Amino acid sequence: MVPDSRARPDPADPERVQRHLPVRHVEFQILLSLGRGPRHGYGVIQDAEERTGGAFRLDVATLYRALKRMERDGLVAEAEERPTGDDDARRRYYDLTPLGRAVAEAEARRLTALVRAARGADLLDGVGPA
Amino acid sequence: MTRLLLAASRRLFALWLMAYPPAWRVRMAREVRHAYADQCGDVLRRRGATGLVALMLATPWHVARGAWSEWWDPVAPGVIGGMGRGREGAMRGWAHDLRFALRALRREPGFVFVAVALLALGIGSTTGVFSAVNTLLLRPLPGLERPQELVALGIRTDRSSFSTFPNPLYETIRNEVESFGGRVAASSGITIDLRIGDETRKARAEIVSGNYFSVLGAALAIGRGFTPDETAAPGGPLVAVLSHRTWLSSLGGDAAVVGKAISLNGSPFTVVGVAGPDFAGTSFTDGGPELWVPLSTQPASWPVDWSPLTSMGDSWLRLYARLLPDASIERARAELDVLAAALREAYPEEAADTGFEVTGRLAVPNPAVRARLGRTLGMLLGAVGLLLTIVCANLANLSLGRAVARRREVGIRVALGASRGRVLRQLLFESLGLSLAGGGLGLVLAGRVSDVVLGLARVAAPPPDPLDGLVAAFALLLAVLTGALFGVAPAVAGAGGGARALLDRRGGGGPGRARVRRGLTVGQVALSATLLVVATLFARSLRNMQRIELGFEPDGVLLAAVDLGARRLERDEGLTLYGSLLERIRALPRVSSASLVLHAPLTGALRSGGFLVENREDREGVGRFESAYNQVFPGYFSTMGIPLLRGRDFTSEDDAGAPVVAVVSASFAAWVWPDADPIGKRFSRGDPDDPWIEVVGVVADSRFEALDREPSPFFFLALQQRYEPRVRLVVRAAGEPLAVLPAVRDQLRRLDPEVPLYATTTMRSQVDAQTAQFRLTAWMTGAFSTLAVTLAVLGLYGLLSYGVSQRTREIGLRMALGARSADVTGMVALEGVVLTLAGLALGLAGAVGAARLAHSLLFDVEPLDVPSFLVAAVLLTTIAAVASWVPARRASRVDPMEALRVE
Repeated sequence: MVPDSRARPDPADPERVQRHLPVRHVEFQILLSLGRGPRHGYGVIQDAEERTGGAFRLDVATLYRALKRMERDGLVAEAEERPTGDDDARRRYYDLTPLGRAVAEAEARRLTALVRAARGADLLDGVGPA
Repeated sequence: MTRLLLAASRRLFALWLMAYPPAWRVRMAREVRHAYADQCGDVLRRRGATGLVALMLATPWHVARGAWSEWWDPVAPGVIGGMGRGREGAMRGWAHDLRFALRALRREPGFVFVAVALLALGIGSTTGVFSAVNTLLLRPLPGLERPQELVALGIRTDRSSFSTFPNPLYETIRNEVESFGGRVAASSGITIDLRIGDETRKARAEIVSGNYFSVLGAALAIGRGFTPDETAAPGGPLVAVLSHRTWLSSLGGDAAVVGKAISLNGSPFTVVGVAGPDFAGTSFTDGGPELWVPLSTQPASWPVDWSPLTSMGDSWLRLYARLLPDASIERARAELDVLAAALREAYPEEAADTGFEVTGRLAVPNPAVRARLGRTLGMLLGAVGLLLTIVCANLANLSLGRAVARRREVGIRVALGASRGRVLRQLLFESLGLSLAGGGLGLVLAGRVSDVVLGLARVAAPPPDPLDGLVAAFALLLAVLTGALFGVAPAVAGAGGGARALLDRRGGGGPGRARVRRGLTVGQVALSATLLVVATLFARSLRNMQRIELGFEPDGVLLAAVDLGARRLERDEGLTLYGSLLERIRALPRVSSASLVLHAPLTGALRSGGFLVENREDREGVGRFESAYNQVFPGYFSTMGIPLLRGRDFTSEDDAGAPVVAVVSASFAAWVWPDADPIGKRFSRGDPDDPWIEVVGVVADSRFEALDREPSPFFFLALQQRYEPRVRLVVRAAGEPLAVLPAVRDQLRRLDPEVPLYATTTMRSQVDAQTAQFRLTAWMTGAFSTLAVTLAVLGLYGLLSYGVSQRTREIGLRMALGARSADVTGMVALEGVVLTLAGLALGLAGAVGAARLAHSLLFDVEPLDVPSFLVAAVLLTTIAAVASWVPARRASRVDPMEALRVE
């Protein structure tokens, strides 16, 4: 696996996407948060906490380590534009790359298939439809 | 307040970030700090100050995880896979520094030895006390399922806390407190005659509610616990569960034991199960009960002359409950408060001050014992913490001296391009290496210390686990903290200044560093003075306790319980058996006397009642009196060493047919017949049918109820005239009293093999049990303060000696210019005295606070006891003066020519 910085890789290349699966839980939560638009670091923490009803709480050390890893792997990138109304210059905004979006979608599909399998094994009786 | 907290959280975080590699900090620190600040503000708004504090406490852990992985596996930008050069670079640096630190230490084996020994001492003592705390107070009872859901209940009155419940109240709580959903269990310790095969013996048992095993979640090794059906009503089937230990030792681990019958108190009980190997019941005494029987078997398993199951006036059950998943301890407490209010309304007199208590965490001793032990052990932990602080200060001082000696080496490294951080890190590695080695050795020492503490505490507990994770983590934390603490001072001093300053070959201490060292010495003297005062206060408490006039001679007396209850003997048969038993025992070699008593002193058991004095019926308040009493056999007073002041002892003629007689205590006689000879006077129980009781003797007062309870008026009746089937045997023997126990047991077995002899102990250990807490605090603080004073004085000595060696030239010059050796001695000694007095002043001030905290643990000593403070001050000053005098003498012997030539 030799990175080639000159030729831009196709983000939809299934093989390339597949290499990132399964996505770690922390990273999937970050992908989900950034899926709705660019955010700064703490914005990701807030969004993840709200979305999960407080069940998933990130600490900054873990967040930035994951962000750095995802940036290196090309899943997220520093956003060039930042949302209007927030001109806090000290913040760094992050956004999904096309690859990141493709990986998030692939991971969601993978999880859906798992849930379907669980339902087939009668493990989810009485739990609402997916 | 909250603004302060916010500011503190940011400051702390900036500090924690220092743990990350520099390259990471350059890129990320600003950004991460801002995000953290946002998070702190948000948490404070939504979850309040407690939320923020929780976050602040968790942060070091988060950072440690993040920083750890950044060092080991930094995410290098652009390098997919992340195994780039960064890792190698950073780690090579660390490994190099570690090796360098080890090499540096190897060059100074003397320093390493002293430092590791001191650290082992400090960390070991602290961990040892903590291990005792863990064993007695923190570790949950073994063998319980999800112990965090379990709580213990108690009754609080104006006089006691966490006392036991009557059975009807237990049933009310079980049925009505919704937080428990009926999952409330009750238990009480009893002794029971257990007969397996031909052997009958007294066994410790617990009589428990039918749901006991299910509520506690105690798994059974074989068979089952009790079922609701068989325990629903009194008089149900006679069933029992055996402890794992008893099953192995008494039944040989018989796998087919379930369904078999054993004889308890002469009735056949069916064994339904064997408890798991871990489970030792809820009232831990010497390894836990041997078996359990349900409350529904009470008349057979625990025959007493009152009605335990229906009596509201007798409290005897300990209660344990399991909280429902959605319930909290607060909700349970609120529900119990409502119940207590109803109880106070229903019984306005009896239950006037009654409330209920709930506590989580079922540990080994019951909550009442825990409260007492908690204070004592908390105090010891504080004392040993002071000792550890002194060790740190001492080592910091030693390391400072070393840092000065190594200035040139450090300077060369700085000049060659090592960064300040690098040098700091290497020095920290050295101190961490030392403290980890000290901590490892300390763990070994900790086992000994905790054995001593547990032995002195005299609380039966399962032995501490030598590999307890919590204790090991505690020791590791102490090691890292002390390493960082005593490493920081020399590290800062060593890396400070530029290369030029460091390379200055004459650069001795420097005024700043000397101040630090003096400050550390004063601190050590102060802490040791505080400890010494506290230890003196405890020593005086123990001495006061030991000096108590008991009124009897406890040494050489053997105690044992004899129970004829199960034999169902007639009164005359029983008395005959007692008589022949005593006759046989008195004939044994080394036995000088023997007798029987209903309740032995200091066991807490007591009888009392109201009486009428003859010819005093008319005098209000004097004729009618209330007094405690006891029943004894002839020879009791001489066996116990209670002096007979007037009249006579009971004799064998004082039997059922003879007039009823009594021997009264001196204070009883003075109280009832202040102006007359008590011999021949009579009193009665007040009923017309009751015979008059004639006083035939007066004995000296003796302590009976508890060691710290003044003797009150007391009288003795003859056991021969008031028969009891359950008594204590008292035997006075030459030498160790327990040595005659086998012979005593043998005599009883020959007389009647079915009568059990149990609860064997000595009167001395009965007395010692009452002073155990005082012995524990006095001995442990004594040991800690001795160490503390030794270290502090050694520190002072080291500082002065170092000063003398640094100032040899100056001293030589002074002497060359005409200073006399006395002047020089005075100059050096004065410094020692000034430092000591400064430390002493601080330490005595600290001792005032410490003594106030220890107030409830003292006996007959005021917290501000002037003699204790004086003794500590004089002792410390004297030792410090000697320690100052030695280097002062050396200074005065400096040869001026020699000294000037050094330069």
